[in-house]
Amino acid sequence: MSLVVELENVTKEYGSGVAVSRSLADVSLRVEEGEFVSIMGPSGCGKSTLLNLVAGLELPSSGRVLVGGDDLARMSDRELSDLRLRYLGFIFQSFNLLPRLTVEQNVSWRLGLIGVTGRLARDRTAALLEGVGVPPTAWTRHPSELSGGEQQRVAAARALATEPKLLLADEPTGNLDSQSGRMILDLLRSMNEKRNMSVVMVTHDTYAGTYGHRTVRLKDGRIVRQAGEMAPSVERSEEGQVVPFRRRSD
Amino acid sequence: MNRLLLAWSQIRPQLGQLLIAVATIALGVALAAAILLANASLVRSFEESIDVLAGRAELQVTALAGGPLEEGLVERVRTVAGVGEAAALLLGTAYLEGREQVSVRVIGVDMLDESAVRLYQAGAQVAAMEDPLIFLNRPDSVLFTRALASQRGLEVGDTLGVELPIGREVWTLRGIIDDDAVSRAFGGRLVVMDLFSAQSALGVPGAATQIDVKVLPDHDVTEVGSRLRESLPEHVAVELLADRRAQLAGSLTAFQLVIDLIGAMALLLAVLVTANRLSTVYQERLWEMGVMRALGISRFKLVRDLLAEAFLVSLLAVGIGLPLGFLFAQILVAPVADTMSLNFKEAIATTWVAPRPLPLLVAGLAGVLSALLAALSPAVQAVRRSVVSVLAKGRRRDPQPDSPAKRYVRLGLPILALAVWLLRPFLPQGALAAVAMFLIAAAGALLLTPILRGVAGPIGWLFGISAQIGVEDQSRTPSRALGAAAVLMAGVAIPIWMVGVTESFQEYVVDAVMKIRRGDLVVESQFELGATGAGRPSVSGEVVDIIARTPGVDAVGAAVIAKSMSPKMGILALDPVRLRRAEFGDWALEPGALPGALERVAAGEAILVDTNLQATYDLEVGGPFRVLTPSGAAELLVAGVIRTVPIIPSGDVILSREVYRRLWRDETITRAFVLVGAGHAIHDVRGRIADRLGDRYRLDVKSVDDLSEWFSAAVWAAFSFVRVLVLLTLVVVLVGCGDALAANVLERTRELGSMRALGMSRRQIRVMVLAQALAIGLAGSGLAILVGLAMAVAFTEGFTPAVLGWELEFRPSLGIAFLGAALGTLSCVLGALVPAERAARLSPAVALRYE
Repeated sequence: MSLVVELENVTKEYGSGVAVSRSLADVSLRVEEGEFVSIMGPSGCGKSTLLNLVAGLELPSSGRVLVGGDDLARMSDRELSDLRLRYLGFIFQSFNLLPRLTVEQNVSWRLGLIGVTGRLARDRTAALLEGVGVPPTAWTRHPSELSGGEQQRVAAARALATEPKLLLADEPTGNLDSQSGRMILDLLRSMNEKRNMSVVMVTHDTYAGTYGHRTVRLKDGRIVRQAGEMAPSVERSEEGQVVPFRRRSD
Repeated sequence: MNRLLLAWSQIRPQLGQLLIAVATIALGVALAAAILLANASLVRSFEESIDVLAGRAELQVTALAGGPLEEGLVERVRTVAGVGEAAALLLGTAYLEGREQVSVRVIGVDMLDESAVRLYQAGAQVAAMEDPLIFLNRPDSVLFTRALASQRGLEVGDTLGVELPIGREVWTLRGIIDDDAVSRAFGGRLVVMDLFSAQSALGVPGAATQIDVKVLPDHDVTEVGSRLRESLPEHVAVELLADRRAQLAGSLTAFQLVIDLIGAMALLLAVLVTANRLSTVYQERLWEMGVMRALGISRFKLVRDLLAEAFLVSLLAVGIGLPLGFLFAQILVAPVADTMSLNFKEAIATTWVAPRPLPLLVAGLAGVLSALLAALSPAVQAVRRSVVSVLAKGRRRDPQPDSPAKRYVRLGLPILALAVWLLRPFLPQGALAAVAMFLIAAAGALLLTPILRGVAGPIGWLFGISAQIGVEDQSRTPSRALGAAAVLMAGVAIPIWMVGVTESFQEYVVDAVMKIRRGDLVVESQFELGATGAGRPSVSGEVVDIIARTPGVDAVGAAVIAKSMSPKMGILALDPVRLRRAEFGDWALEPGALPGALERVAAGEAILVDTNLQATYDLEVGGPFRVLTPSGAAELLVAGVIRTVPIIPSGDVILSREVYRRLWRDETITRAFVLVGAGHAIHDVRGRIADRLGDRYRLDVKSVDDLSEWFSAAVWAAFSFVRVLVLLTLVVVLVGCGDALAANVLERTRELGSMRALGMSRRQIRVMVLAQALAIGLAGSGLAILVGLAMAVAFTEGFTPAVLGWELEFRPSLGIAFLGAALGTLSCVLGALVPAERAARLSPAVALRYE
């Protein structure tokens, strides 16, 4: 199996001088292709910071974050944006759908960014929405007219639009009732299994955590425990193959 | 007081954010204060000049036809029962030579007449005077106001060159008048001479302009006035000074209304910009307001507290705006004086504007009200949000479907505006024009949403997908975009409206004026009447003969421009050749003129009247028109009607100069038009005429094109305040659009964060915000063209007849409209540069945490 994400002794601090606060401390973590990793821990333990670092939304104070074999600290803003567009998908706790766009538009705008427009974009959007179980009657509605579960499905379709290798989910069930939450978790698992897509999910819900192949527990910015099936390649070699991110400039 | 202290503690940390609100309200207040102060100051100056000229008089005797009276009438006036003091006064204009040529009002007073001394001297103390006997014995003696003497750097005993109707002369300064009121009247540009000397200097021996009368203490002024009317000749008018002031106030009302309307528009812009800013500030405090409401504070109390904050903001703005307005007024007074001079055909002094309490109070109150008005809607909207929703979602706003009432308004208002627009010809003007203008502006604002949606596609096609997303997104809940577009629409529509009216005025006036003023050359005084140069002083009629005798001159046609008060009319008296030869003008008469009308006028048998005069006095072609002249009553046959720009609003009579000379006893001319003979170069003839007129007459010899340009320039000068306002408006558009877009970025911080997290680059975010600005710019400016032009038409039809006295034909200048729209769009995009950069530089991680 190939390596998708690698964090090497990553520390993330905020503030300066006496007001400095450490969110992550010397964290090392690897995620293989097709692996579903649940990051768990109490509020403020650094889960979301870890996810932001993997997405290149923030840079570590020390250590390295490699995604698709590339060190994010060495990438320009444009390259990071391209990485997020083509290699990553992101699902947020509060969905973060664009409230003024319709369901269809919320999915298709990312297709537009990779040059898929017109009829092709419409067909692919329809397939994505059908794939995540959003009924066609909802496609022309605005997010505020949908239930939380439906909104999160739309967010999932949006994340999948560019066929990413890695899906990052930040508390995807945090704003949902248990039934909707389960449906979203099933959806994530299905994407992981059917598309062999790596998933890194941050959650503080123990039940949600069980969906991962592996559970990483964080406390006070440190990994305190890892449980579940470890990817063989991670155990086997530090030189594990990577699923490369093909930069647009390549 | 406690509430205000609480409000202050709330706004103190947000002062930085409120800076734009404070600045725009301050600018609006400054502009309003400047307009009101300049206006009040000029009106006061107008009134003071009347008071100074009238002294302590209660009645004034003048020639009904305008022009001079016989000085000897003063003796007849004194014989009327109840008359205490009566003195003759002669008024005229002279032009001081020097580095800067200045026109001055010349007042001739009989210094040997005790009545005159009692009437006028009480208000005009002569501080420094050489020997009074020398003053009286030497015809070159003059008294200057202290202000004029110091302006020209003159002291008693100094001499200076002066241009008078009789030609060039030299005056000697024999004394200084030290009186504030006199110095202020005519901006201090006042010269006093002995009556006899003034009569010779002005070329009107034995004449007076007015006889001022003071009634005996125990007599009724009105009764004495009636007795005077009965005992004086028919061509003489007797007026109560109080009536004259009231008449003046009435004639200024319409003009002031227009000026005030412009001030109100400036404040409206300030309201729009401030409403946007306050809406942002309140948006940021939504969560805090939600908590307060959850803790038991009612909506009403919250709105009241927010209004208290707006009140404090307004006080700050007024505190800055009023002193600024006072400074602006010093700059604005000159162009407003020019405009008033043009409107009232009087030289109105440009003086230092004093800080009068009433205009400042009105501007200050308008500023406070504007801030409260701007705060009301955002405050109500902020507290209307459900507490649960606010606490759950923070600042985020989801689009809400329109309520049925909103939909009806959205549909109904444009239809209503269109209906009022179409029904204009059948409805009363004036107030309706204001209603129509308001409806047009409101309908324009409502049309912004569909237009924003309409431009999304083309912008996306032109600038890429991120631009399209931005514009699409914005068009769904366009509250911010609407705010910016409304500022832009108002900001661009106002210049289009004002410049459109000015241009129409200019084109119409110049076309109409020049149609009947043609030839190869024009000869006229080098001096200009009034601050605008709206007219030229009279010159001696002798110059016509001198020009006619110049080699190369084929024909000379002189004209006199004058005014008559009985009936009230302008007079255009022309040499017959001006009517007989087509090279001098196109005399297209209205249908129904008498056969050979122009020839009959040229021969002195009949007159032409303009459409205004025909309407004012209900004149019929072929019928008589009775006028009172210095030579007595005369009945003139109306041979035809012509459409032109009248000299005064009530209209003009056009007659032969021979008839005018005979009836009005005036030998002067205003200008002479020259046709150059075949085979002669215009340039050469121009030089020859200038040589022949020599140094004796300070005249310009110019081409007719120069005259046309001079008319254009005079109109532009008269409307020069429009340019100041246009510039200020565009600055407000820049600030207002930038602010609204900055608010938009702030409000959508989280969305921008998620877009960045989902792969949008900084460049794409930047393009997105700039595309939004471009869409707003195009939508706002596009509508501004329609709204501005429609407002200009409504204004022209509704207000210009009241202001000018004649109907102005509106000529839409699409070039100006598109230029205004382009500048507005550019301002909007420039204003978006900072918000776009801020949006691009947002840290996605921070933005995603933003609530």
